[in-house]
Amino acid sequence: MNKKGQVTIFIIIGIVIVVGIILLFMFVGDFDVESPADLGPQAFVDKCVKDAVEVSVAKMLFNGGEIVPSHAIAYDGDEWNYLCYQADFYKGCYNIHPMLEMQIEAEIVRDTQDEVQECFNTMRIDFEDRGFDVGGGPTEYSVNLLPEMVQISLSKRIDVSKEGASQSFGNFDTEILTPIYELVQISMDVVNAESQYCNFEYNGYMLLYPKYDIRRIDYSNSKIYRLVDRRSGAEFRFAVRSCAFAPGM
Amino acid sequence: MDNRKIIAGFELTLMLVSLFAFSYGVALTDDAFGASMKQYEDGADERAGFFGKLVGGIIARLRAPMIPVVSAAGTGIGCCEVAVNGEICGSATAGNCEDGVGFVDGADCAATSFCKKGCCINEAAGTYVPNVKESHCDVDWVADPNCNMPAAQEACCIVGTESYYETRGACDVRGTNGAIVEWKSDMNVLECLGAAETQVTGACVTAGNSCKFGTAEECASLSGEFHPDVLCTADGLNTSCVKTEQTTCVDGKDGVYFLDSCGNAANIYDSSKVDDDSYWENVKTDGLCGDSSGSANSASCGNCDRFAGGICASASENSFTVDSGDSFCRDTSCMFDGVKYKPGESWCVYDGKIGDGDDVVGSRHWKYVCNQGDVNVEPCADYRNQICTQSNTMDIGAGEVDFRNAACVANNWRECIALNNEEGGKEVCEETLNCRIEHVDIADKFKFDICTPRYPGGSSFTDKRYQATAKSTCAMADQTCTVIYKQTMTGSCVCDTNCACEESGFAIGMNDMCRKLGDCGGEVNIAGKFTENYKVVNSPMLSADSVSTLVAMATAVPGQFAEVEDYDDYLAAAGLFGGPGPAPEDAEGPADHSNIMLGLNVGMAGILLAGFKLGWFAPATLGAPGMGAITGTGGALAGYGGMAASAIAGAIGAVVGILLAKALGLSPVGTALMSVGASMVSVALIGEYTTLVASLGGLFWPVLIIGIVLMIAALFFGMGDCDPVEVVFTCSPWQPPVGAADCELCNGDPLKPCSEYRCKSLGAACELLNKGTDNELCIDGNPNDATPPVISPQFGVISDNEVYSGDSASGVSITSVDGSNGGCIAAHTELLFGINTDEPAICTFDLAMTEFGETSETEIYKDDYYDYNHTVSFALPDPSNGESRGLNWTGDLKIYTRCHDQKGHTTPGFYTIDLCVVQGPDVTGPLVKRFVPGNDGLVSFDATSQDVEVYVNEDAVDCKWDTTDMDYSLMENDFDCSPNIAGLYGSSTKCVATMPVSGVTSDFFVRCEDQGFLDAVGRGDERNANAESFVYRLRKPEKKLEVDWIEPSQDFEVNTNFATVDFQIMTSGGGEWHHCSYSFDSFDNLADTLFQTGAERPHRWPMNWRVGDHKIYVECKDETGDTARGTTEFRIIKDSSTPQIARIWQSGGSFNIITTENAECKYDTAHCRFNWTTGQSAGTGKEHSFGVTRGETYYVKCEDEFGNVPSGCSIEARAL
Repeated sequence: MNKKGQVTIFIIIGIVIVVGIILLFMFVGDFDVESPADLGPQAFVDKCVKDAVEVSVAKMLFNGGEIVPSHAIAYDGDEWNYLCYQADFYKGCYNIHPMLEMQIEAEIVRDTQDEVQECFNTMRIDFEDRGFDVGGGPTEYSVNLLPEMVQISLSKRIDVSKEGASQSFGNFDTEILTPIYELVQISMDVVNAESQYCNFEYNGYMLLYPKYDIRRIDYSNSKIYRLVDRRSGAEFRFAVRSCAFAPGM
Repeated sequence: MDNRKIIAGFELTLMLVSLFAFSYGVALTDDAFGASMKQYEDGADERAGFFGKLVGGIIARLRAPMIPVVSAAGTGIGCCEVAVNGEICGSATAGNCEDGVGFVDGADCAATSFCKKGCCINEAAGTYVPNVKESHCDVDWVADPNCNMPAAQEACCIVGTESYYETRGACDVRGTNGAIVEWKSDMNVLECLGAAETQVTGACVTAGNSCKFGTAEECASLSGEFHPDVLCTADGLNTSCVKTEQTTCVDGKDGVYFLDSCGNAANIYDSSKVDDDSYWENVKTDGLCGDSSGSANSASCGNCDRFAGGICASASENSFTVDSGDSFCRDTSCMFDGVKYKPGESWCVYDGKIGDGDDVVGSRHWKYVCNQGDVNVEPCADYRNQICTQSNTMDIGAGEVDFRNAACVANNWRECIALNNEEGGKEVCEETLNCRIEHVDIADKFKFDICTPRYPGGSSFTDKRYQATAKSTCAMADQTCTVIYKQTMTGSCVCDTNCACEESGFAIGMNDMCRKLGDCGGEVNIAGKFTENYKVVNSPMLSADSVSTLVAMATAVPGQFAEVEDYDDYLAAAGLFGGPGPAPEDAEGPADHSNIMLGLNVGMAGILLAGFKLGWFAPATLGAPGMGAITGTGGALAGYGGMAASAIAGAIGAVVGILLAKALGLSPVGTALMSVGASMVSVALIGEYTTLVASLGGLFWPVLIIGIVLMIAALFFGMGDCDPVEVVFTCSPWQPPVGAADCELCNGDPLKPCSEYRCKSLGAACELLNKGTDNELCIDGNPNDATPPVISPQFGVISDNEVYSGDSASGVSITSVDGSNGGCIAAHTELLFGINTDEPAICTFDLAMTEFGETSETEIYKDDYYDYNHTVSFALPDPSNGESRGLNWTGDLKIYTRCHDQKGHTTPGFYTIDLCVVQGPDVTGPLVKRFVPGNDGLVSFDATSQDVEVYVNEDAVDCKWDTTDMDYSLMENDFDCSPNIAGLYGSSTKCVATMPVSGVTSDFFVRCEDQGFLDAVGRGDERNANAESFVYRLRKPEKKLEVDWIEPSQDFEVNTNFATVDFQIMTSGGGEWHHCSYSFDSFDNLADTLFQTGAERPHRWPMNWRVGDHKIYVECKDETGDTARGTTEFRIIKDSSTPQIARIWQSGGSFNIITTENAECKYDTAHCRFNWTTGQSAGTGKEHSFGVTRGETYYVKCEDEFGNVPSGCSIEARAL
């Protein structure tokens, strides 16, 4: 067979294939390329929730463990949340956020629960746009500060179905790596020492634990603390007013 | 000993010591002042000695704006749960407290139910938080602010190759993410620090020839085969891991480590070993590369030691070139001022000379720290509320090594000042940390000791509250030295006593005392600028040389630092506050030479006369001077019969001469001449013109003329008095130099950041910009100001019955509101008035036109601080007082005012305040202003009498009292009224009396009469006595103060090293306020740990005491000064023993264990370091049992109810 003949045959075959495909679309109509099992909602929720929690953790670090500082001193254009406060001179402070770790966990949940719900909503809309029926149960959401991480416990039953095929998802637990647990523990050491001894020997502490950089600024009868994890650069900021001295007799 | 441990141990020790020192210092500052305040209140009877009296008034003035003192009863200040400004559990008045929240007048918040501190507990998380208010705790709360409970005790938590010193609960949390943790309850923090490093590590070979380097526990969790001390690259393991040239830093370790191809850290980086296969076989701990600097900045060796000077860091990030890999030992030492400091070393830096009271104004103590190669500053508290102490060596047991360490510790300068008000304070001062005795020794009768701080505190230049107290503090150095002069025989005056007060040493000595009290007097700032702030009357001011000496103090002394004190001694010594030193002897008044000379002269006159009359001398009569000599002379004359009459005539003449000489104020010589001359004239005249005595015949004229000549000559011998000279020193709060030339000196040094105090000390016009940022700058606050302040009346401020009128640019008048008496104001009125300036200024108010800087005796008031408002209050004089005495006192007053602003611009002329005081006879009686003790005051239960002081608003007053109301003239008991505070301004009288007290109440009636000076001129009937009595009442307690009981009184057990004890004292009787103090030493040292509990009974105080024997001495005092004492003895016993295995046996397939005490036992089959939470339970109680498998070894741990658990196993047993 000569070459021209071969080429002609190939061209005809190609035309037939193309026409066949066109006819297929024209006469057969829509068809699915996805099944519920292919959706992978965990990855979507994981990223979405992590993004929300990371922002919230950053807020906690910046605002001394609260979404918005509740009792703070203004310094350098920011509000520095008091973790320990004594209004009088010469007296040790009251530890006003004793369960800081639990408080931060609650604050993160409070700060992100709408966003977490929105993650599911966004996912549901996306799935529905793609022709899936999506159903679900209540959301159980909590966070837990642990060494070197924030553990996110997220349970929600998600039922995805399409044309008889269905899939259920329930566990969306995830975690983000952050030294907030360690920094909070150090802050509690600081506060405990300030409340009992009116001082925290942070330079000695840094010598023992060189992976943390602790900075203190004395300002307006208060002490501004910055606890920095040298490796990640994460910084926990707060203020203390303890055993303040009067500027005179 | 391992160097690293030594250093770490030292750091920890110092940290703890400094913490303790600080807290103790603060506590002492608080309580000490509270104590001193109270002791002052307790009455004048306790105040003795020169300085007790001197400072008493000062302390009283300091009281109101002072530290919130617990015993604030009656002041309306107490503990407020929530103040209107949102502050929680602070001192406030009831009015500043939110409605409906807790408030207890006079109480310290720690003692109230609503602000009591406790321990907030989250057992699951192992969190035990001290000093928490109950309402702040959402979980469990117990009333133990120190969290003295077993589970709150921290010990060592080992996680892999890292260790943490924390509670067991917190340690367990670390295991929740799968990490293997080990809890070692019997390790202290130092042991814990090195515990992780002692963990055995090695290669963990897992399936597929993979290898992970770690601990045995970690390997067990990976189900791998553990090869201790072997690296993953070891030949014999046949793993896939091989050596590389890469290096890494490892968490929790200092060094640089080689990295194998599997990502495992191998041995310490040593570039010479890169290709040395043997270096990749086993874990090497000996023969490593390195040097004494911790391999700092070594390109070839990674044996870093952060304590010696190096710590692992990224080479690329630090632009460092290494032989292999990307990590190196970054140099963590520091260079400062040419001195190399080791990592972790800290040292003190100062702004000038320190100590001995020489710290200059605006100065601060700085602690610098070498932190991982950077010099960081840790400023000690401003206003020198903290001082920086330093030690250059540390004792490591086997000797001392060089290691600098600094700490900011509380400066107890307030206590030093307060000691001046206490009996025995000098001795206490000498023993009190950082207090010193200032020996003021200026003249023979002007010498005393005063307790001053070694490091004087600073004071705000802007806060009015502290300006007022600074003024009071400085005023302690307001002193008057009375220089006594005596007459010579010729009548001239020569200095006799305190002569040195008129010399330059007076200003130097007094200014030293003044400036050592704080920011007072003639002193320099950190820029070396001197301002005066003192006045000296009748003595030279400071010389230029003296000022230069002060200026030199603004330069730091090389090598000088405050040494770390022995705080144990401090604890022992501190506490009893008293006044310094012996009271100086009272300056003797001028000897009454005139009386002696008078008698001598008269005697001589009689002798001369008699001898003259007889023609001979009678020396036998010289023996007795004075009028006795006259008598003697007369007696001698009588022996000569007819000559007696002549002698008497001569004596009469002599007496007349003496009276005349006295009236003329002649000197002794003048008096003698006058008396002799007069006696001669008398004899001559009486003999010539009477028959009483024989005529002198031809001697008449010579005798008469000589007599007259002598009398005339006498007039030339001393017509004046030798008045004492009062040398006055006035000490005022320090003021910054005018202008803003030096403001910039505060900026630019990041290691000495500027502050409000520092900035304002550099210039009156300096202002701190960008406050509350990390870029605070000290600048000229008003660079465009080129004009002096403009003065106007302070229209809002004037006493009730007066009004401003005739306001103009040059002045204003003040008249009475009703316009009676021509608008003149009644005498003795407490006139309140003031002026405003359009910019902050310092103003003077004077009755004469006095320039700034000139000394004036007519000055009414001078500002101590720059302000817009200048308010003056003073009592108007009573012109009749002067007029009644024939003095030229007038009711017209002109007050000349002048002001200058912060730039030094002075008002061009005087602003004049015109007023007049009603002239005319005084027809009203005096007014009693105040009683001490106050009316209706309590006195001691045992008192039978009470010294009472009465202050009356006029001078020259006499007062009387009686127990029934009656007319002044009928009252039988006199007050002893002080010599009038003479003068035109602010006259008043203090009268004292001792009144009998009996029964629960004693009432007295007091009346006074004014113008006592009228008696001397025969116009006593013009005096005005009170028509009505002032009723004064004193009360006694119904029962004497007693200490009923003290708790604890019996031994008790705890399970921690410290016990929070509810220390209680029950008192009864006495006054309303009982203030208790205690000591571990004796009743002589009570105030060092003082607390005051006010009116509540029993007195409770949560204390944090160490286990051991305790004997507590308690003394309670009420407001009358009555005291009651008690003691209690007890032992706090610690149960720290771990449960012991009394017996173990196997019975069939079970182990049975009996423990010596109730315990919870758990076991594991792998090792003793099992996680407590994952261990298998063997039961609780004393009997324990669990099933076993033959041949298996069981590791058992038992923990008692106090949390005591052995660090290893309680027992290991193999099942048979």
